[in-house]
Amino acid sequence: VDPVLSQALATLCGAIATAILMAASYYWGPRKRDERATRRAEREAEE
Amino acid sequence: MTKGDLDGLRCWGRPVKPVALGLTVLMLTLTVSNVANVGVFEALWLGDVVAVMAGSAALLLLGGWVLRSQRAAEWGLLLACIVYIVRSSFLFFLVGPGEQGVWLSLGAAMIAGGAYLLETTDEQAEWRWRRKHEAV
Repeated sequence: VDPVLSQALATLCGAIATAILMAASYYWGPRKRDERATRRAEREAEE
Repeated sequence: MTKGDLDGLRCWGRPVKPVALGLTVLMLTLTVSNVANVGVFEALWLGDVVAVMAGSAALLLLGGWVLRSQRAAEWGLLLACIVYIVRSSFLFFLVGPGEQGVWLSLGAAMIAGGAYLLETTDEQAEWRWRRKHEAV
């Protein structure tokens, strides 16, 4: 593939990988865990 | 201590992250080779972008260690992963899957990305986050 097009595609791949990694770190991260724990506690309190 | 630290080992009162240490060396190498235009990117504009990103990653990893900043280390690991993903995909599109550098860079990106996920999803980070929000 042409070098200029390769650069553009590589930049796109980098952006996609960044988005995936940041989403994964949020999904399995402390903030999401905390939200889940709060929701579970609320549900148990209702029961 | 986080999952990326060596348990019980301290160097000048700071935790030791072996993966981050190795990636710092790799990032410095990529910075120098891209600034000198001797890497795979040669004189292409992406080479300069990668040089800046690799230099920033090395600075964040070193600075994070010196200043005891977990957050800086996490961003450094993320930047290192991006640098390797860009390098790997660039080689893939330019040369093809027969190029050894594609797979070496992809493996290095997985190591960096894995280290980033281990650091950001650590319980130590959870404790830090809770402390920050409960204090408000």
